[in-house]
Amino acid sequence: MIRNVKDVSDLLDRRLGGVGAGALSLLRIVAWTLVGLLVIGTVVRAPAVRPGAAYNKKIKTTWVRDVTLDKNDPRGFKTRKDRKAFTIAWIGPSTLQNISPERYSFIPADVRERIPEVNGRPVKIDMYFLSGARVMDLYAATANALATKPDMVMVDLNPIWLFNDTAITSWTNLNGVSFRHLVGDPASWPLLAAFDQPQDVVLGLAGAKLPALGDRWSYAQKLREELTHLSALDIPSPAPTPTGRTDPKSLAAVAAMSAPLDFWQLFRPPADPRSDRATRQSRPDGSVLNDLVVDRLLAALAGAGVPAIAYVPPVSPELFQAQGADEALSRIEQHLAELAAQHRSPTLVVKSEEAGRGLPPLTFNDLVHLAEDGPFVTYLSDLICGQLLAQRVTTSCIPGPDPRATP
Amino acid sequence: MLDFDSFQFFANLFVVLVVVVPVYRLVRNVLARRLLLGLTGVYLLFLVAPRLALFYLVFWLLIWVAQQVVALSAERKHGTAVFVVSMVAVLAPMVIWKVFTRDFVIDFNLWGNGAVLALNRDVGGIDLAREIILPLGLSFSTFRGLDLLIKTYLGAFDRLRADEVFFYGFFPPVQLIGPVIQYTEIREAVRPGRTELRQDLREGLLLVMSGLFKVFVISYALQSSSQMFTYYRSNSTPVLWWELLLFALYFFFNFAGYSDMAVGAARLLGFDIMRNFDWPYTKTNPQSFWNSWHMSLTHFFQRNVFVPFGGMRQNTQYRAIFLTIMAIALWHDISIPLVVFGLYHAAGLIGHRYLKGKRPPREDEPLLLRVPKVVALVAFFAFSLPLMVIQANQIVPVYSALVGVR
Repeated sequence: MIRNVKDVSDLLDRRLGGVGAGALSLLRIVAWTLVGLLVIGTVVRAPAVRPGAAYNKKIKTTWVRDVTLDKNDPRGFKTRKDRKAFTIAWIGPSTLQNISPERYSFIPADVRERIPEVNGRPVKIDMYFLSGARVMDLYAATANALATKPDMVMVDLNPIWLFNDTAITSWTNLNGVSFRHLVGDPASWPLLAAFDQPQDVVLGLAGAKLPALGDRWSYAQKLREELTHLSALDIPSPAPTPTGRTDPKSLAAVAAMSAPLDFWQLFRPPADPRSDRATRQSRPDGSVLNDLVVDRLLAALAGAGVPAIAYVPPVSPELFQAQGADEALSRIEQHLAELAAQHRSPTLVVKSEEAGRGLPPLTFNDLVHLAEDGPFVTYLSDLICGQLLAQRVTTSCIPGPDPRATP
Repeated sequence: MLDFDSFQFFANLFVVLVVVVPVYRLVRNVLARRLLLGLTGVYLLFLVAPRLALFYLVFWLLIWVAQQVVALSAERKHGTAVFVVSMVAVLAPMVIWKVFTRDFVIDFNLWGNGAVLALNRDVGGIDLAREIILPLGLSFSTFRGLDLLIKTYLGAFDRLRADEVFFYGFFPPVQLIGPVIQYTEIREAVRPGRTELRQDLREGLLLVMSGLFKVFVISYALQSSSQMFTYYRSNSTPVLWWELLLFALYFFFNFAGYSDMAVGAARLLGFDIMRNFDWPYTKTNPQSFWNSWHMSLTHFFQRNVFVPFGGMRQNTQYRAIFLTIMAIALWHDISIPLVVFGLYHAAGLIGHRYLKGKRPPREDEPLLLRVPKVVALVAFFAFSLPLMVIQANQIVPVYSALVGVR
């Protein structure tokens, strides 16, 4: 009778000789496992995934698509190839959105309305839209975007998070898929050692070759759905939501937090107690790990060999009303400029000054999210055209007028 | 937040072992072997959060100091007092955590990060990006530390070297979810040539595969049963009982699966540590059940609570059973549901011991008699499982739904 592992081992000895008990046997097991995974990946196809399904519905033109997969999907992104189009990879966090009661749009889509083609080629924008992205996520997305060989790259650097060390990464699902793009840059190795788990690396590398591993999130989703159908439990829909107020410093409230940032913001003493709430955790003094991330991000853009623009999106005038906010933002801008100065390249433009400083007053939903992006879209369109002309990518680039501007 | 996916720890462990096992097997120096495994354990904790690694470095440093002091003073005038103070010092973090959970968890993360930042700005930066965590593995580390001190006091160990305690404290496979190993289980096996590589590899791999099967095939499929604790109001009593039995299976296979992975990983390194489960759902009485459930923990409490409190003596055995099962219950959490859990199983164990004294069971029980006993015992255990999940204010509604009184 088999009661424990020794009994199984003895059985293997009796029936299968030396299986699993020598280097050659182990190699055979590994080889057969790989063959098995290849067969499973080929025979049992993973359900198709649609990137940015919820957001793409809101974009009228198919020339602009959010290419980001679910935040838990280790595949990260799904891009489409179109050699005839002029492809811009546009990477950014929630500040890529423009939300007003009348209109929900994305700034890249609004820019595309102004610049529909370059050199006779239709402009296609792959939007690496990472809601809640932090600087390491932007770097990971940029590395993935550059691997697709776009014609131009745009990166949105939200100043609130840029040098905030309590918010350095949020999309950890990108670790595995980014590893193979970042490992070629030895200066990035400290970041890989810091943020990538060994399992991320192995599954990321293996997943690129073995769909059975690479598509594991889709398989798990499908399995979960089918298991839910099998359950005898009657689960009311929608599920009841907790009622009543919870002490924000209670353990339940901590457990309900979605990111470490929330905890640090609530409990950690600010870097500068006099500063406003938005920039209080920023440390633009060269002392935080964010510096290395920004440094490598700018190095990647500078070495990309295609026109690239990194810009700081506008922030609400409301922020400037807070005591010390203007100075805090200036320090962030200045520090970004210092880092950018180390990566001068003819193809890279770094606009370290918060874009709103040179624009007429803009309308915001909160501190960083625009409600009316017209002047900012004009600013970005001019910036793109200027860069394309400077790089002689095109001989003529004149952005169209704002279609929503009142005559 | 505050949730931790145990598989992430084991996935990292297995990847790291691909490098560590061959290196460990090639290295013949015992000190180097101890350091290699200790540092592997530190690295695995660093991957969870650097603050956790730092916490345990301080914690095991404390245990090493306590072990030295207990060993030196064991035979002297104040030896017992020194031993008691050392025990209290080692127990303190776990007890404070269980009693003042909120403050402990918040300060553990806040101060832990502050300490890491003070030591190294970059590592502190990495720590800020890691999740906010409970003091993962603290109970298991506390039990291992206590076991070491008790055995030292009883004369089983002389003063241990720092590298020995480091190796024991950070032994990689058992860092987060046990089993609760004893130092004697790994002390000699670290010397080269103590075990046969061929057998270690095969049995280690089999155990790891068994663990993966239990976790990913069986318990994954049963996982949704835990939703019964949320939706008990909208489901009938038979459905709730069905889901409760599925949850009992999930609870076992998930825990036993991870235990198999830990025991298998240790075996790959050449350590034959004690298995943690011995088919508990096939047992026919509460005593056999607890002797086969989370065995490393049960044995720890048997050695250190049951026996010292007179479990082997006729007139004190019930008291010893009661104290042992209460300790096992309250280790999970100091809360009303767990007190009820302890009382419930104490009643079961004492009742069984009493009946056994009155009418000793037959040695070769026929299958026909065994099956109903097994079913009854599984149901008896499953009925107590909600107490490990729910809050005090849910006890009445959940159990009312389970017994059909609404």
